[in-house]
Amino acid sequence: MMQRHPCQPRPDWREKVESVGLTFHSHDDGPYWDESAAYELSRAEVDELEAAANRLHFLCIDAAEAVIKNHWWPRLGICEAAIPVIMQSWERDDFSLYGRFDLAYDGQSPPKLLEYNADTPTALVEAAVAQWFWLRELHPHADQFNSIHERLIAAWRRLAGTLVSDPARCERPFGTPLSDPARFKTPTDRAGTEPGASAARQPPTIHFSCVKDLAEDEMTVLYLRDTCEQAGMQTKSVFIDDIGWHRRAKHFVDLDHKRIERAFKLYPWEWLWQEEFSAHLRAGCLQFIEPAWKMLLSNKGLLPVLWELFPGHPNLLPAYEAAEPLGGSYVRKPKLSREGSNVSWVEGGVVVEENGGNYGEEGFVFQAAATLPVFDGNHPVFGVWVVDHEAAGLGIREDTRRITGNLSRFVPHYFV
Amino acid sequence: MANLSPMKRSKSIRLVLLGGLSTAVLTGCAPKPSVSAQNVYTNNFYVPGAGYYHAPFRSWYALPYNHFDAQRDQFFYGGQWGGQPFESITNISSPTAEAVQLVENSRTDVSRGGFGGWSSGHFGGSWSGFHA
Repeated sequence: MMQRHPCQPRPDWREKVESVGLTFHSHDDGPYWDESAAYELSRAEVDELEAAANRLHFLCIDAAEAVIKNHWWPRLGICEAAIPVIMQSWERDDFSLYGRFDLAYDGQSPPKLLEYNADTPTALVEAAVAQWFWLRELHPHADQFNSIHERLIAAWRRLAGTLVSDPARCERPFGTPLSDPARFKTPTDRAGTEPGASAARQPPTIHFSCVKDLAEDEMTVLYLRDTCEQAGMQTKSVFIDDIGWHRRAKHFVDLDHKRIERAFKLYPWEWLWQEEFSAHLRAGCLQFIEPAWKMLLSNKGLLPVLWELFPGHPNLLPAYEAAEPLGGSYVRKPKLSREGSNVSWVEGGVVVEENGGNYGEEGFVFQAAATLPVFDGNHPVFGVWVVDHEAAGLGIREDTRRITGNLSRFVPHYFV
Repeated sequence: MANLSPMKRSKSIRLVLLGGLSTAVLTGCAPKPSVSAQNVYTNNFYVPGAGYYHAPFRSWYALPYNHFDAQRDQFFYGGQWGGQPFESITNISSPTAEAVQLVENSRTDVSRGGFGGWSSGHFGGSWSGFHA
């Protein structure tokens, strides 16, 4: 049975979490990494969260396929220019590294999907690393739903094994049919079938990119680069606004004028499409991680599609493109918002909680309000990480408010 | 009774870059200065987009000076291959005007700043910009 235990923070917790990369542990209003409490879960609860995330990931892929087949692009507010690039990445089954489901879970009823952060999820260093070292020091005999680090390295290794440098890619036509049964196999499915023959070839360099001067972004990207290096790949850093376009060669370059073929980006796809260089994305000469097809999964416009395709599914909340089916009580979410921006919690037709922000131009969806548990006045949201198509770990963030925002605290967990 | 269920946590975590954090790792590569026919350069002075300086030939080439290719069993210098490494007492020189022009042309072939502009409108006053 899930419990929240008050704890005495380690006197030197700041130094300890900083030493493993969590330099952004505090903000102006207090700690973001909060070890004054910890969540204890049962193994059965962890199993349920894991199974729910695995189910939901493939439901989302099915829903994305329905969007593509039925040309439901306007339902997700996806711009015309993005469609061929999404299609291309989908047909090629471009490599996807990770994502994070935000689930509402009280330990009584099945976990419910709040949203899928499938494009630019953060809170990774704290989930994968900081809470692992916290566990090792304070609860060495307990377990934690957290094999994120190992799974990330394994995912990069798989990519390294399958990559070949493909200079003719710009001319490559759309690839395998949507019905190809080999699409989106999990690492477990693939075990024993993945050829290791290409290992002798030199894997191409993976560039890692984010915006400048944001500590959380830089550390998140550096951590992912760390796991990529440990998988034997070559890596390089280039800030998103330093990426260059070579006019004659017609490919992207870094500051050394070296070609960028594959780049991990911690930068939303929908922003890329608003920018000058998006015109060059159609050439397909740069493969981003996360790939363009993840735009479908990270879009909250997928929530009504999921409910339409799988009505009554135990891990879904009713969701629509209009408020009426939900009566006067619902949560209104912009299709593209992040960190709870522009989310409104409505009860009896009255807004009882709301976050500000710059989103909403793309339209809203309306989702039934989840029953959020309360522990000492705090509402936890369960962030289940998916790495290479499989659930890999958990990070819990809590807030006294029901809408998780960018100041919501990260609280470590364990189970016995 | 012993718990036989497999552990769900990573067995070990080793940090290669994150533990030994350095500014160079975070900032990536820095823009290189432009070249000039008034300056002198040593062998293998690298200029992005132009290559490696070969002092005796006063220009930049795609491969380092006297680079040995095992498959060819030959050495590269001054834009050509030879059976022996090129021998010269010149290991520093100023580039020709044509070589400088080629370098400048390679610079203007690349435009930057075409990504990243959208973020500036979303970060104002926020502790974190777009995190999910």
